[in-house]
Amino acid sequence: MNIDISSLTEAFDSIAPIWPIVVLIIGALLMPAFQILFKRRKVTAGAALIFVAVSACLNVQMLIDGYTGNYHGLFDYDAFSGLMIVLFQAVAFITILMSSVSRETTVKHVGAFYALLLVATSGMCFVATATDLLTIFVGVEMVSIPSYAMVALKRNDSRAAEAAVKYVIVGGLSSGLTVYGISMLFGLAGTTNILGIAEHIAATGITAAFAIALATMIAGYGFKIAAVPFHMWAPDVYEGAATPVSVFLSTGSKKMGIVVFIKIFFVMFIVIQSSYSEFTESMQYLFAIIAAVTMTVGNVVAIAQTNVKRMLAYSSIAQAGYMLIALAVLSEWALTGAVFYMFAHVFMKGGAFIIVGILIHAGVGETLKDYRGLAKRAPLLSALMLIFLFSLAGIPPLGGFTAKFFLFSAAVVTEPTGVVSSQWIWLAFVAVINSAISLYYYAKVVKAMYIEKGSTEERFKAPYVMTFAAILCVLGVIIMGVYPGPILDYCAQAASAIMSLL
Amino acid sequence: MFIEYTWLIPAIPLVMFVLIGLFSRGEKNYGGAFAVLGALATLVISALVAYEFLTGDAYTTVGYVTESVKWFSIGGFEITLGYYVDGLTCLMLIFSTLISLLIFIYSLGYMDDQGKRKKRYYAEISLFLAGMTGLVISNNYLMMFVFWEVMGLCSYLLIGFWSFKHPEGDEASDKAASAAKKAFIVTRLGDASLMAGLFVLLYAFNTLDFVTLFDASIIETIDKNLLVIGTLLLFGGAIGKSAQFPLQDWLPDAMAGPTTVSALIHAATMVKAGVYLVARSFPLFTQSMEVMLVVGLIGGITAILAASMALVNDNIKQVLAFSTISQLGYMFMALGAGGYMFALGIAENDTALVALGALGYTAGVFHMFNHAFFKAQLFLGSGSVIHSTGTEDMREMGGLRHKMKSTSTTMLIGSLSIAGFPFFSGFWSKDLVLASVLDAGAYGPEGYVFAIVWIMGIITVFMTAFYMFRMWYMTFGGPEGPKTETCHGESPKSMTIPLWVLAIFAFASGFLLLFGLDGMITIDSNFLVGTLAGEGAIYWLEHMFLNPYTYLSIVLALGGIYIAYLMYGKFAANPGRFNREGTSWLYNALEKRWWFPQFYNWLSWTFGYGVGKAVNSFDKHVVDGAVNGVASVIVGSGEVGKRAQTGNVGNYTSVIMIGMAVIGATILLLAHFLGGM
Amino acid sequence: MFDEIPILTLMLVIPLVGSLLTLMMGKSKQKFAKYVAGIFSGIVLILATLLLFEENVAALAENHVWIEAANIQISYILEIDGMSKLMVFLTALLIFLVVMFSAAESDKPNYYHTLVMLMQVGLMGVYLSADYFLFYIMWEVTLIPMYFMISWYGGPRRHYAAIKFFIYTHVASLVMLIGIFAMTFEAAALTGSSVVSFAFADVAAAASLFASGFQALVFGLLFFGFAVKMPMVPFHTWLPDAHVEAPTGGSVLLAGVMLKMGTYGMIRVALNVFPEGALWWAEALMVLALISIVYGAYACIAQTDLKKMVAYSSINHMGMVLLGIAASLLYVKYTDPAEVVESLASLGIVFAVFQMFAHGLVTAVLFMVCGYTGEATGTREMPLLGGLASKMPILATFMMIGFMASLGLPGLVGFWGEFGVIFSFYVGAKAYGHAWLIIFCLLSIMLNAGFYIWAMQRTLFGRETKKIDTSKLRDVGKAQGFSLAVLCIFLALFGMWPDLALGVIEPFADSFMQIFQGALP
Repeated sequence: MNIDISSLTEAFDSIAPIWPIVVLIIGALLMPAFQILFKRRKVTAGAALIFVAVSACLNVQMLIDGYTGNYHGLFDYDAFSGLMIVLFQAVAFITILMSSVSRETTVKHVGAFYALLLVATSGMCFVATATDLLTIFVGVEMVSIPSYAMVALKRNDSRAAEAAVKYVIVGGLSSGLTVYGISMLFGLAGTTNILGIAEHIAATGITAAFAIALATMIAGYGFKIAAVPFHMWAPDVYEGAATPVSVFLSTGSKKMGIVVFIKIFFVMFIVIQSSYSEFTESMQYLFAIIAAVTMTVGNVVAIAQTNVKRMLAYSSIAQAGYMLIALAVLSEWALTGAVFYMFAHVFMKGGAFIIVGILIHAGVGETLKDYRGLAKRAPLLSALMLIFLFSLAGIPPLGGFTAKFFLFSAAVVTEPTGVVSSQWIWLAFVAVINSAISLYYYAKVVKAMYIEKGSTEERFKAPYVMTFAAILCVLGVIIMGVYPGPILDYCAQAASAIMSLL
Repeated sequence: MFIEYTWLIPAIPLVMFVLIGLFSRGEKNYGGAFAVLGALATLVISALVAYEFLTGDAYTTVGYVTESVKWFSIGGFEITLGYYVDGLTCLMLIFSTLISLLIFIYSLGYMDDQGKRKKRYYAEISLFLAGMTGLVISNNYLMMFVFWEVMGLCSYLLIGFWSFKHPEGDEASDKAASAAKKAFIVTRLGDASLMAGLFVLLYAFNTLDFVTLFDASIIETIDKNLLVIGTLLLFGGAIGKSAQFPLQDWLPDAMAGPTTVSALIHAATMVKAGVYLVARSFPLFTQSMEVMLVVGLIGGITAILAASMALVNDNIKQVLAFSTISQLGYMFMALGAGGYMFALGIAENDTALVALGALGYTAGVFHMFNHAFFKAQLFLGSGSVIHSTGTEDMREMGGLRHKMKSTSTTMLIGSLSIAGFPFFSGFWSKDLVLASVLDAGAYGPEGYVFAIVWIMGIITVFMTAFYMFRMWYMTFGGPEGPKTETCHGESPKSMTIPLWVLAIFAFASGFLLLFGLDGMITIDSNFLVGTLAGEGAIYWLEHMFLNPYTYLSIVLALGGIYIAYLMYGKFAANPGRFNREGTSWLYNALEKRWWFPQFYNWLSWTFGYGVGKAVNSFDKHVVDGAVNGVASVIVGSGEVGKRAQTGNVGNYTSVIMIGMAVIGATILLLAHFLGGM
Repeated sequence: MFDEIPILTLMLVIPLVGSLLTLMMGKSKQKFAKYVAGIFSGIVLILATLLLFEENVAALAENHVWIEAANIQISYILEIDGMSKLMVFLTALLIFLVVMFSAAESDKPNYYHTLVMLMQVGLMGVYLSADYFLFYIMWEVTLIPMYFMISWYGGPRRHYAAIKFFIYTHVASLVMLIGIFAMTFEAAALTGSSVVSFAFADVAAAASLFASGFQALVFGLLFFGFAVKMPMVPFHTWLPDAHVEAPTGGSVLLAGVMLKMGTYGMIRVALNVFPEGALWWAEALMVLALISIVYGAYACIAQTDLKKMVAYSSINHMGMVLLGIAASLLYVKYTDPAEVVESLASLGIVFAVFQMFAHGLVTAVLFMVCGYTGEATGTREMPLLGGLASKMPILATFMMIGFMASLGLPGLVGFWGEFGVIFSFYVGAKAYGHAWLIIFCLLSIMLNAGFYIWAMQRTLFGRETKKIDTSKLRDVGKAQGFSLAVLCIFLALFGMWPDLALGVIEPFADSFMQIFQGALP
């Protein structure tokens, strides 16, 4: 559909930058109504899907037309936000598809569930467009609070409640820390606009207050991306929550965390670099260490897991570590790689979780033991799982590989056409060693599915919707693997959009 | 018109090998017929080639005829395939093909009871013949090396012919298998050295073609050190193949194969290759006296050492094996001495000395020629004995002369010949050898070495005569031994006829010297073989019988024979007296072959298997251990991390706070010290 | 003759189609999988043979831009030259023979053939691709089928072996990947091009521009990646395990063609891009090669498992390949540029490649006979065997031919590899000033003779074993016999007429070394 975007944007004039989000919010408000009217989960889900789809279409249209706009200096729609919104909508799409049939998600509170989901999605989109600490904070909370509830909304599983409680407590704590940091920064700079703050710091110099603010915010948002040492909640919650929700958390809200990091720290540090390069450099090393530790801990602990869902949780901690490389390297190319990686991650990790969800749904179970001989019982599913796992491990020619290819190369060379700098090569080594370690536990799953003999060989039927979602993900993975060109282009545009802020 | 077809000489037996391998089937197969026909054809062509060459004008002018085609090229080096015919080639061709033919015929009878295995046997001996003839006609070292190795393979296969399902049971199979292994590996040691020699020569000359390598003007331009190293390495190959000291130990064990194979190896092919190599490479060897000293010395040591071991051995075949080794020693002695004088002569350009050197060369080759006949005869004779008595232990024989007339007579001729009894072939060549060694002793700074070598040689003469007749009397003389009663009597015609033919040669081949053979196998200062005319009968008779030392060696030979007769023929003297009934140190040493076998076992088990085991366990525990160690560390720390995840929210939050504090502190410090603040 | 059809692409597509077809043939159609595999690999073999004799190879090159975004340019480039010709032929031949040899495979034969065909895709890709991205993808693609082959059709400890193989080689590839990043991006920066191209040619164009230190460093990274694949001591321990556990066909492919990827990459990538770095490493390469040779040979002596022995012998023989490479480097490094003789300079490379090819053929025979011995007698432990020659004469013959070829008997292909490599090393060592170093090679010749002959004595000869039931031993069947016979014919053919291969290699090696020296400062 090729509508002339300008007419619409004029119609909405100042709201234009955020109106894909507005669509989502409207949808969120209407969800309960759908439940009351039709009583059936599928319909509600379908409605939610439609809303997401509509907002997606609009957003894609804006993105393709390269629309940029600013809303009262709080929100700023550009290539980066547009791309991120696409990503979040994709996540929402997958989540809805899964949850519409999964036995794990609620059937009683469908309306509430989808309302929460859409709100959370819109929250993520807010973050994607936000340029101001406050809007970012609001967006993050719009994601956090619904997701507490979504975690809790799981049928007949006590683990969910426990997970939800943990999530709330830890989440609350980190929100507190974040507000604290924001307030300090406001006190320092007299503004909550990120650029404003950054320029002020660059002008006046680094103060203890700023340092503390940084620390608290790293902690607060580090919780979102589950960076070590703020990661401990993640395995419990991912395991406890209904699988669709786990998908949402691991692929969605984690990405939002990364976006926040990019929006706040990436921007700040680069701005500060102009006057205090040493400070920026030390921050780079700080993030490099966090990245290294995060990916190592994630991968190493994942080896010990026997519960596949939990293993995937740990692996996504590790993946966050990979993406943090961008903040260590602080270059446009690294940013491109990170953004590309986010997309790949959505498809492969999402897909893997979908398969896990299907197996739980079908009553097969979620531990390695239950996966034995799966290849005989469900050839298609195992094949899909195989692709997702190999992609996660970075085996070509799959999305995971190309993503790592671009991201790790950024650690070796800061800019494509710049000379090779040995500064971050060690980080590249840590990364590749990690990706080799990860191969070990992914291969364990493959071995269970394909090589070991199962106790039973009887087949089971998987819900078509879920399989369909999984196939969508596989397509994503494969396309990003064999034909990453276009997506990479968009990622590059997004990255340059961020750089152009400065 | 025939020389163009020289390439057929190795080709025919090769084809036979393939034909027999592919088409000969079942118990009554035609393998034997194929093999004999092949050998016959080879002999005929060889004879024709030799005849044409020796009567052609190339013989007197250029000294050789060669043809070659490109085989392949390595970088700048082009390797050719082709033939190189000169006097030496002709001689080698004639005796090796003739003897092989006789042995093949003999095999028809000897191997008749072997059933299905005959196929394998005839295929392999044909290949063996192909190897030898190919080696002889090669026009470059690389081609020569290929056939050299083919012979190595054949000897391995044939020595191990009974390495499974041995008629005499498992023990024998094991013995054969390990004998074959020993033969292959020990000769392989020599081959490795030879190969290295080829590298050196190839590097120095940029080619391995004889024509170039033997061109005096080109040799001039080559770095002498390279030549010395190269020739020494080549000689290493000869040591391995011709079972010279210190690699002589494989040959006695090689007796595990059929006797015909031993005859083939000792008389016609295998061990002669080493001598041929040195004779062929004479132009290169004579570039330095030192090398020739080494050759001569090794020859001398081997001659006396092997002879000493033969003194006490009771296995008829092993006695012959030792005698072969010691006779080969003579050949190297002669070549060494001749080369030494030759080199000296060239250095001081003293033509007389060069002529003496050429004489030594002649002596060596001549002895090889004679040795081929009498050794073939002796082995086939012993084969006939073993065939009929079913044992190799001479103590179980005795008195066979009545039951096996032609065998005993022919073997007597052979023994007389090898012992150097006047006018038998061995006599001529052996005295020629000793004469030239003695000459060498008189010249140059290191001449005295050859004086010592000559003493060794002269002692060996006595020993040879003794142990050969010890063998003859123990086998054919004296009272009948236990196995003699049960023997089948004389062997079939197919075996006795070759025996007689060979006996005639064993007696007469020496006289060829008087009819100009020397001209065919001499060498002139331009390294052209056989371009000189023979000296003629008168010269040689004078040369022999006006030389007092000739009489010395005759006396020693007769003495040896006489003592052997006293001890084992007439039982007038008890050999036990001399070795304290086999308890004396010397006797023990000889019995134990001067402890060579032990030494080699120790060597191979310690430095082969021992080190191998060490490396293996290092591999398992250290190298692989490291790999597995890293893996287990990672997995283990995973478990640790798993346990750290308590599931208790309190811990989570405190970890978060601590983490934040740490990060904050770090930032503060960094900011403080790195600037900004 | 192939100007119309994209023949090189076909080399990838045909096996791919074959693998998909066999993958579909579940259930009752399983037993026909081998015919499909046979036909497809047969076609590839025919094409490969035609390629071997194709003169104008430059015309066959295919070059399409694949990914062009964010100043990255990745192209789909396939090229073929003297070295890849041989490797492609070797791959096609061995794959075909493995399919023949495994005709008797009864357990999930269709998947077995799927894996074999898939392997062919990867291997062909590695040997044909001329773009680092594509090269790396193919490089990794070969791992997966091998992983499955070992862990599906392997022996008792297959899981351990498979995962060890998988991860060990994967780590190596990743290190190599970092090297590839470094060189490609640096090349773009140095040539000042606005896009980073991963094409071999574009990177090689910068070969002379790289700083010395950079060359040494990155050469090291690449070298590690290739050395593990080779495998070179001390990074070899995955190999014996993998071989002992792998099925016969797997071992044949693993040793026959996969190991060659390492040395192939070393020549094609490391030497080609970093001549200076290569020279800097020359002595190190030589030492490592010698260690591999001697260490491998000694390790062989101590083995009791036939297959494990052959596996270690592969380490020894691949060491020879590395030695050939080192020889050329040493010669160039230590000869005054004015006096360098082209033919001597390229000698090492020529025979390194020849040895790769020879070892591919020989080792295939070895693993087939050893594998078959294991299947027939139920054990590969030499102490338990003995006197098999009388029970299985045909097997004995093949084993002897194989062993003789491997220990370098003239007239069989193994000899020329060995002879040539050692000679080239002699030339190199002479230039280096330490000609005596060839002693180690001679030692290896001795040890090779030692353990092979001893192995034959313990397996084929001597008393017939009582330790295992030899009553119903069956000699090699038609299928296996066919594969072995074909291989032995090739052993003899290339042994008698090495020019057949040398003629293909030499032009490549000469031009290669000219470029190499041209890129030196």
